[in-house]
Amino acid sequence: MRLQSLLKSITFGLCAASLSLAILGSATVTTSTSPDDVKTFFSKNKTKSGHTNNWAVLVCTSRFWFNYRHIANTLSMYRTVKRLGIPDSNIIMMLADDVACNPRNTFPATVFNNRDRHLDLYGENVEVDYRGYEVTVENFIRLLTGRVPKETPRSKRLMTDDQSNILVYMTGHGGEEFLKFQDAEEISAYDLGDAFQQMYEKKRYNEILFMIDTCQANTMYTKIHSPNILATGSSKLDQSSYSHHDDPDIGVAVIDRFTYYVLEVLEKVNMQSKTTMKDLFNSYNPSLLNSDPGVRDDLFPRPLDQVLLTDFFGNVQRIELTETKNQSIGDSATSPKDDYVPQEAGYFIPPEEVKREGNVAETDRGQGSLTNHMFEIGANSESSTLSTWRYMTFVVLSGMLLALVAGSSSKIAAKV
Amino acid sequence: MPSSPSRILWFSAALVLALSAAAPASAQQSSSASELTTPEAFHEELVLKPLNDGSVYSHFQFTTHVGTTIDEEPFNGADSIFSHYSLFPRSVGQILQEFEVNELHLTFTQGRWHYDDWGYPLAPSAGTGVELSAWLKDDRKQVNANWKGLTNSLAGLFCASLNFIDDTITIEPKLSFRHEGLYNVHSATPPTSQKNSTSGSASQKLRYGSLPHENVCTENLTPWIKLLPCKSKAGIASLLKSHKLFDTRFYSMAIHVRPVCEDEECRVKSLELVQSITTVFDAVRNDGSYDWSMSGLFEREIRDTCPLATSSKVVLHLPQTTEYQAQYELVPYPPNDVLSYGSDENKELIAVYDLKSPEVLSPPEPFQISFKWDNTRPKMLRQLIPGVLTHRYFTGYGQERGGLSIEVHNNNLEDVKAIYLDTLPWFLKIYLHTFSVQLNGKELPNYNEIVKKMLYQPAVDRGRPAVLELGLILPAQSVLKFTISFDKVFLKYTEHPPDANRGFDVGYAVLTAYMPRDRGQIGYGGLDHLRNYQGRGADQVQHQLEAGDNNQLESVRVYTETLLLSLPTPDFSMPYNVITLTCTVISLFFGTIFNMMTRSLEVVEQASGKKKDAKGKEKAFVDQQEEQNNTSKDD
Repeated sequence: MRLQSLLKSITFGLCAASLSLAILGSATVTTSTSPDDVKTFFSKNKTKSGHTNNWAVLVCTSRFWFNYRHIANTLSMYRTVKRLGIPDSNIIMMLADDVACNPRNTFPATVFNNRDRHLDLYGENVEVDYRGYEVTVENFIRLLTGRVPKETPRSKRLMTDDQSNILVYMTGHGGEEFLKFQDAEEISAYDLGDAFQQMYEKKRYNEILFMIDTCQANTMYTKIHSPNILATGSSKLDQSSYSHHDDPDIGVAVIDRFTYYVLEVLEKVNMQSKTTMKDLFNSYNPSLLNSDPGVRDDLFPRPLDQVLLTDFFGNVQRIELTETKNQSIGDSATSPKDDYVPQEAGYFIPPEEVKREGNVAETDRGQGSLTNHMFEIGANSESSTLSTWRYMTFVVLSGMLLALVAGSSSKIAAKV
Repeated sequence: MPSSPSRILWFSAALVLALSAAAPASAQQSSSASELTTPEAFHEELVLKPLNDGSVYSHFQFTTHVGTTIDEEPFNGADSIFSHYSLFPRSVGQILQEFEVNELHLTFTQGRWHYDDWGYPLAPSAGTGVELSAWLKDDRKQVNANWKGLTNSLAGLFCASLNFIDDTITIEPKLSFRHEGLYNVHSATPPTSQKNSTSGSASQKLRYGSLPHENVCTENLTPWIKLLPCKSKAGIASLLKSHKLFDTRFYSMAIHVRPVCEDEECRVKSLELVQSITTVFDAVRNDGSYDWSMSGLFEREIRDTCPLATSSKVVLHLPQTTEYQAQYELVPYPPNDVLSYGSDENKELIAVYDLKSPEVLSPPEPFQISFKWDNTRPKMLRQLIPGVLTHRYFTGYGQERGGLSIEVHNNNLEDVKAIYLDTLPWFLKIYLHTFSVQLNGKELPNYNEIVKKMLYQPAVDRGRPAVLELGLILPAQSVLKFTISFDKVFLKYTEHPPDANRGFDVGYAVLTAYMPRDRGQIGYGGLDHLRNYQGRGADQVQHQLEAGDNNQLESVRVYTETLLLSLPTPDFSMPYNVITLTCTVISLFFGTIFNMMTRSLEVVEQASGKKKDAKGKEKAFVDQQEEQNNTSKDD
């Protein structure tokens, strides 16, 4: 009798577990990582980033003309990272609407982020990778995690590796732990945290700076649990983020406050700048922003006054050569690859060198890097299947455990 | 020129050549004919034409040729040519090679071409949105995979959502969009007739798709410019300023790739890449004046030619007036005088500026054209009545049933052959039995005389669109009207776009009309004269001229408006209601089943001391639970 009911409860528990699996398809699995592991795993020491390439994912999730400012926010960041040396091939820009050539735009093919209209953000050389209906939660998460269909062109892939520093900038309309995509769907803070965790497991980044300008923005980074991620947002829980000013000719607000004041700092930054993240965060002024911006650095091992802004916004790199690669360069000394100059001198790179490296990244995208990245993607998908299996096993086991506990406890309860 | 819709391009070119045999342009012909054998050549050209309503039509055309002189090797489109790249853009070449593309036409268009006011465009353009058609090799039966790869790659290359051209909107026209280039590798004759082209394309498959709601903006122009050998740094392309180009009434940007013959026996074949931008500037808007200048239109000037270009020309079509002659001032006047084509009443006056010649462009001084009317501009220039016009609109009301009306006007004095192609998305359920034809307002019970051929592919839900292709004979000076009814489909709520209330775009229909070549109404379209000036295919043209007659037909593609269909949109919060309700039901169900499975229900015997005890215990337990509940609420 007793055995029978126990069996019954186990079967039921399994049912419940699979049911919960079906309902909560996006349950999280936390990997336990001790802080020491985190610190030593990626960077060589505590002050230097150790990255060799920079990427930027700039996302505007808002559609419709009255959200002009969100597109202007994103394009402002685009302009900044491009100015600081990240080439178009390393920038993935998602714009949910086209305001530049919108019939309502009095100034066709332009986007301005200031009433004085001195600076056309759209310019003559802009590349938008995902636009219009392509800006969806699915595409965004696929982009981050690298699970894209095989036909996807290079310009729509985030081809990062464990040496990549990534700037993820998002703007749009949000709420507590979610950000709306085009008024049709939301990404939750959990989705984002899981995507970053998957990126971590697939070794798709070295460090991430996550920056978000939306209402209740700080709630979006609360569920991130992967190491080496620095996050900052424009407003805390229950606070709105506000626009800065509007343009009477365009007829709508042209920029948001948070982005406006971040840009004020970034505009003074050049490739050789020593401005640090701490300087940026200290510049936040809640009375100007009308909201309380937040910073989350508990996952980020390096002290913020040692982290340069150009680690994320620029393309200043510290290139490290492995033994074999060094050999091959020696062999083909006359090949155009002799741009790869070892940077043993530490972080500081003289201006000329810096410029040259920026160029390296740009020219490299057309040629050799494809095969490397392709290889990388293959490897990724393999490891992802592994993690799926682990996840499945975990769920099934925990379901059985749950059933046991539930069964026995209810038995006890019934007995009482 | 190369983007001409005409499958009888050679004939039309021949005609122009014949008519202009005495013109100085043909002198250049012979000189550049020797360039046919050069492996690669690049030509740049700008055509300007003031239109009837004061707008100025401009057409940029950049042509790149990759030649091959290998006679024995079968010509495989892109395959055999690209061992290395110099002028031909590698990004395009690799795509052609990878996806085995023989012919490719991609057009981005913003705005609508006003046929009534502007006549036909000199170079064909497409309807609003993006149009993509390609002939793919069918050797290994992987056309669909290649097409998917092609759309995705082009999407990446041109920063557009071309990847949305999937199976649900891709079609394979059977009568329209025939080969524009060389279709049969072993045939020496260019594609002159329908029969030839269908038989020759056995090893190739056509794929066609359009996105009516695709925005066109700077991000599409940027990669397009990057394909040019001189970018926008030098030559005619330096006029391309996005702020001005997108501030126009019509903007169309295209890339066409096709294999062509370089000589009459077609021993020399080459791959031709044509990049073109067509715009209609509203020159009157700013100051109310009908005068215009290049610097005013483009806000840029030509300071030099592209050093890589074989030829670099600016061609100006001078306006025709009925009463006045040359009541305008043109600065500078073309060094070779104004050329005239056509018969008296349909005369075209054309000024050609060869930028490679030092008398036209001497480097420190920029090249500049300014056009000024002497006194007042005549109110109406020579009225161009387009030979064939078509419009399409929705009828009906409500959210369930609708109808489609298609009007085709034939203004010609004779019957005209035409092909009508309509792609209707699967969410319009067409009822073919409701198809009816009206001729000049009268219902035709038997329309076999008008609709000679009808090809209909029914739609598959979420699978493929409905395709209606009609082979028509348009009676002289008539108005034909087709009507057909459809039902609007209820979509799943996830199938609606984020701006669902805007409606769904239904792409344009295309009418391909075959009109007599010598009708002035068409204008000397198809940029045939450009071909002439470029000195390409001269022998071919001569050959055809001797063989054929002058009364050939020219094909013109006329695009209808795109339509906006409002489908019933659901209340998008409904799923949340459903989720809430479902969860409630599940939890109720869960609780019941859980209790049933884990508690053993036993019949308690009455009238015994034990029973009281048990009851008391049970009651005590319930009380305890209630207490716990109360405390937890306070938390």
